[in-house]
This record gives sequence, structure tokens and C-alpha cells, in this order.
Amino acid sequence: MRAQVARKLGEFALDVTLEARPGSTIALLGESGSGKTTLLRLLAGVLDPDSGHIELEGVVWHDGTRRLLDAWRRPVGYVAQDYALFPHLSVEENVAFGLRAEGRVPSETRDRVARTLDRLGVRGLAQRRPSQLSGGQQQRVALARALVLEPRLLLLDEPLAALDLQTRRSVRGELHRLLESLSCVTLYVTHAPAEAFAFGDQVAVLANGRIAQIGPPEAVRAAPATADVAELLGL
Amino acid sequence: MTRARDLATRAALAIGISGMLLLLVVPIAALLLRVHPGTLFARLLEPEILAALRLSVLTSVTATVLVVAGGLPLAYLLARRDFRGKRVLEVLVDLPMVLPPTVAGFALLMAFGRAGLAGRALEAFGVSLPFTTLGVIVAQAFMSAPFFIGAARAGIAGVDPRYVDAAATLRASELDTFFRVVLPLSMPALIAGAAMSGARALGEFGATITFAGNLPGTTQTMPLAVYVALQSDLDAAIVLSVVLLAIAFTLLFWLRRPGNQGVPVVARAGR
Repeated sequence: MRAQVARKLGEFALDVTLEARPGSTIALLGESGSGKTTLLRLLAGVLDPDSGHIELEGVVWHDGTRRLLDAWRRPVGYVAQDYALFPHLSVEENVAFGLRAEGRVPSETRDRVARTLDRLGVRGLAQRRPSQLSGGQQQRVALARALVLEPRLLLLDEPLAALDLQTRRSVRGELHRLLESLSCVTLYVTHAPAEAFAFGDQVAVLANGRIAQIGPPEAVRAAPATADVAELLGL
Repeated sequence: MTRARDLATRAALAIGISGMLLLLVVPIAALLLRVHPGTLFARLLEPEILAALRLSVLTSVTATVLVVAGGLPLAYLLARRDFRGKRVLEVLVDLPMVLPPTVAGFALLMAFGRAGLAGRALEAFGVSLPFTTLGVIVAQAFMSAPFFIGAARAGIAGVDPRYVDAAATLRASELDTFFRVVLPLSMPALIAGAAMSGARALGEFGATITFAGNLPGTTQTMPLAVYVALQSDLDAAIVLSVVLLAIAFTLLFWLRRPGNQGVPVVARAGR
């Protein structure tokens, strides 16, 4: 994936360049208001950049002037911070949503949904509504809904932030194993340095809409580029 | 001094509230006190009254279906898009709510009358609206559309954009998102809007009588029949009025049932 995106939103300006190879995870670390979610929305296509270039596996999604691929045509999996599970649909229907939109035959949809629910350990919740799920269960369902579509770019917006401390600890290990098994590019947004170091093959520190530093976790930790980065890392 | 002012304020408030309640309740009570249950049911089955009732139900239901079918895409457009001339379009949509119904009927006549702007074109296809049942439906749809469009627009705008974005990242086109996310999530508001629109269509008088006339069995709906009966048969007027009152009360009471999310949306419909 190669992305260079610039976007102004009122007083705030985002200008970011990122590159990642398939199977790798970039942990995007930044305080709230640093532009993390805006960046994910730009990549997902629900927001357009003012200028730049977004490309994945040789296909250009946006050339800076025109959106060449609409959000719904991009092979993206997006897990929003509060999961945004459709409240009027059951867990199973939520996970099947994208496959139905793609026009998959019912038998394939059923199989893939069942397999993905199994993989995330939530098959027993298939008939429940999102309001009947705990935070941890909602997170798994949201992941299942994104992963069932076999995305080539997985965007995770603070996937652990909505969970209580105990659930976060238990989910973290599972999520780590899951991300390791994927062949797509993953962008993992967080404000917690520990999560960024645990999940990222690369850690990108975002401050005021720009990448202040990017590199392997150990390199970033060993030599923060600025005093602000060091402070953000809690060093 | 403060205590005296406090008492005066309370007294003024009590007088204001009582006055308003009297204004709202007394006419309804006066109507209900005049009706005898025996007479009500006996007269309800009379052919003229039944014909007016049947015509009112037929026309108001058809008008509501047309308003929903045409108003829903318009409400979506107003709720989700920004475009040049949007404010003018919003005013045009709301206009029938504040327009004197007779003016609305007259405007319809100018548009769809035999010599009207669109009337001549319709005539070429053998369609005539004035003084026909179809004309009643058009008048009712014209007058009641803002009630549905306003409620639907507020309901659609109220759908959390997170769900719309989520659908877009789940391979759903805008049309797909509309039918599978926006429509079900705004359904309480749409139902409330359709009910209010239907109630308005059922009570329509001024535009109907101006545009479609007052022909028994063809264009004489219940409100028109009340008007005619007032001059010759007070009992019939009372029966028809009580039936209209009962329908309106039931509808509004149903909309205010506990847990119904549609009500605040309807309250916002007038903007």
C-alpha cells in the first residue's frame, strides 16, 4: 500500500505519507485530535483527500483529484472505535451484511459467516442483537464482519479502547495472533504506546496531522525523534 | 413583595394554562356530549354517511401511499445532500402547511384544470382531475405531503452516520445502504410521518372543495359531508364529526405510545 493524503478540516490539516507491504501492521500512535481516525476515513473512502494518492496492490483508489474507487468497491475492512454494529440486525446478519452486498450466493454466505464466527469464537452469539453483547463480544463481531470479506487493507480504530481493563488484557493476545495470521496490510490506530509497540511491525507517531516519526518499534522506542514523541511514548 | 410577585406569577400561569385547556377541550367535549351512542351507530350505517366514510378512507389511504412513494426519495435528498437551491426546495415542500387550503385548491385548479398549465397535457391523455375522485387524492396529497416529508427527512438525517459509513466499508452501494440500513433505522419516523400525513389527508377540506368540488359519492369526503350536513341535518354532522375525531384521537394516541421514537420526529416535522 502507498498512500499520501492531505486534507483540511476547518483549522486542522492532515498531511500523511505511508507505505506498507502485505502482511505487515503499521501501528498509528497519536493523541486524540491528531488525525488518526481522519486518516482511516480517507483510506476507507468515506472521506476524500484534498490532494494525494492512494494505491493498493497496483490499483489506484484516489489520484488526488478524483476518487477512482468508491468506498464500497475498496477491499477494505474497517472496524470503527465503537464498532458501529447495525442495531437492527443480529450478529449473523451483521457479519453477512457485506457478503450479501457483494451478491454472494446464500450457501457461500452461510458457510463463510459460520467459519468466521467460529474463528472469532462468537458462533454461539449468532442470533443475538448487538445490544445484548458485552464490549468484548461486540469487538469480535465487528472484527468478524470486517474479516469475512477478506480485505486487503484492514483498518482498526482503537479496537481495544472501548473495553474494560480485564477484557482488554484477555482480548489483546487473541487479537495479536489473529493479526499475525492475516496476509493483508493492517493499520492499527491507538493512543496507547504499549499497544502500538505490541501490534506494530512499524510504529508511526502522528502529531498535529503529520507523522512525527516512523520506524520499527524498537528503533522508535530507542531513539524518539523529538521531545514530543518521547513524551507521547511515555519515555 | 417577592412572595406577592410569586403568587401573581403563579396565578397568571394558572389562568393561561386553564384558558388554553378550555379552548382545546371544550369544543371536543361539546361535540361528544351531543352524541347519543344509539344514534351514532344507527346513523353510521346510512348510505350517505357510509359513502363519505368509504370515499374518505379510499382517498386518504391512496394519497398517503403516493406521498410516501414520492416523498421518501425527496426526504432522502433533503436529508443527505447539499445542493444549490436547497433552501428554496425546502420552503416549497413546507409551503402547503401554511398556505390557506382554498389558495392551495385554487392553485391546483390553475395547474390541473382543463385550461391549466398541466391540465391540457393531462387532457390529451384523457385524464381529468378537477371534480373527480382522483382530484380529491391530488388535493389531499398536496396538503399532506409536508407532514410526511418533514418527518421522514428528520428521521433519515437522524440515522447515525457511523452506520452509513460502516455500510459503505461493507461493500454496500448508496442504494443498498438506503434499503438495508437507513430505511429500517428510520422506520419509526417514517411510520409516524405517514400516519400524520394520512390524518391530515383525512381531514382535508379547503383544497378538496375548491379543486374537486362537493359531489356525493365522488368527491364528497367526510369533512365535506360534515359541512353539508351542518346546514340540514345536525345529527349527521355530529356523527361524521365524532368518527373523524375518533380516528384522529386514536392515531395520535397510538403515535404517543410508550417507547415510540416517532413522536419527537413528528414534533420536529414542522421545523
